[in-house]
Amino acid sequence: MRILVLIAAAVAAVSGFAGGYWGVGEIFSLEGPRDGAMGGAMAVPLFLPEAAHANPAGLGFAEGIHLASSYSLRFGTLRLYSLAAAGGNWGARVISLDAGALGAGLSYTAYGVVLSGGLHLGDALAVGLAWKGFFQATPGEAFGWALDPAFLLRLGGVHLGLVVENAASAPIDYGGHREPWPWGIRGGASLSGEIGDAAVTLAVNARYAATASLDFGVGIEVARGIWGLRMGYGSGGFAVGASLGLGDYGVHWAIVLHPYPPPTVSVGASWGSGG
Amino acid sequence: MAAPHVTGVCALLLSLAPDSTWEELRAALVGGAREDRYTGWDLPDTAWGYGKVYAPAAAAELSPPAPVGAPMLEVVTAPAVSEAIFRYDLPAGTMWAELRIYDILGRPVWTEELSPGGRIARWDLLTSGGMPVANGVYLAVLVADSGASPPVTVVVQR
Repeated sequence: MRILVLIAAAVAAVSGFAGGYWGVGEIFSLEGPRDGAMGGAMAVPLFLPEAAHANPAGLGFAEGIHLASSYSLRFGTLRLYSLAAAGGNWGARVISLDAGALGAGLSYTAYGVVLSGGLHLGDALAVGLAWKGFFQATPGEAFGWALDPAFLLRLGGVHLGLVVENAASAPIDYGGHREPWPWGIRGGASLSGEIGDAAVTLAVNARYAATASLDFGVGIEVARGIWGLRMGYGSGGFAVGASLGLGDYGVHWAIVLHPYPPPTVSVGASWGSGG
Repeated sequence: MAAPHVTGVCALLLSLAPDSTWEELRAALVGGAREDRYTGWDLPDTAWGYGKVYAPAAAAELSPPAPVGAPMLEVVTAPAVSEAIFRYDLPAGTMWAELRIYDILGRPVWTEELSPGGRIARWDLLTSGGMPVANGVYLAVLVADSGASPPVTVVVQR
């Protein structure tokens, strides 16, 4: 673990961050129903294909093919669409954030693309890398990209994850106005076990960004038979969610109760085969 | 040590209800006093009396607010380039109001107390810590003792 921390610190130091803006690239932190219901505690990837953006090192242990799509209505005003896929060693996610028409000809539409790869180094350790591309369509065009190296260590029922956010990047260019991506570190752990005939997973997460923001998340999942129930708390508020699995298929739901803005509601569906 | 503060609150209360008697002022101060982790939760006692004087609650005790309707908030600058300007309207009887800005994750970004008698609010596109926010969408909500406004989407585009 000490080696992982040193690697992360070195990469972060090399990338550097001079000044900048608060909240660059947060579109990639927007979650679907499964990870959202866990309070965002996803430094250890608990689901496929969400590992593609949560921690690509988890793709190193992935088998088969996994697909997921979701729709979220954030605060009753912002619409988020997500489509993700993952297989052995690879993953991808496309997201769209749409604020709709805001009057006077103003609208806001942005897209995020994540292309990820993961490789396991033995039975316990995996490394991964995610390329994040940000595209804004309106009110003006913009583009920028960043790379997230990631690590995952599995020690029995305890998993440790570490993601170095924006270790290398090209600033988002808004036609002359440029915003650099702040480097950050997201680390967490999960503990899995069984209580009776239910599988229980507890996950915690901490995230620090160079813009001096510090976020925490904690979540718990209880799965029994075809049902999965989740509850979490993160910087966005308190979340609950549920899943219903039918063979290779699953449907998912979550609601995040923010302190003041209206709640965020997410629904989604997934399909997976081969583990 | 509290006498100047209590006197000031009395002056505020009298400006709100000039015909109040001293008994009514005293009842408003006592009824509006608040407890916290410093005073403890078992007041009155001999150390803190009835608690800390709290002007909004004392005013509500003296003249119960009767706001009608919800706060209204709309953004004037669309998109916001160097600052976001809002127009707001508060129901009569509103004693305090705050403009709160949230990011797309629901995290609080910035808060400012507003004058109940004002009409225009400004956000300089900074966090509460003074750092400029990134381009993108944010959510503004006007929170008052009379309720909260529907959220307003703010687009920041430099």
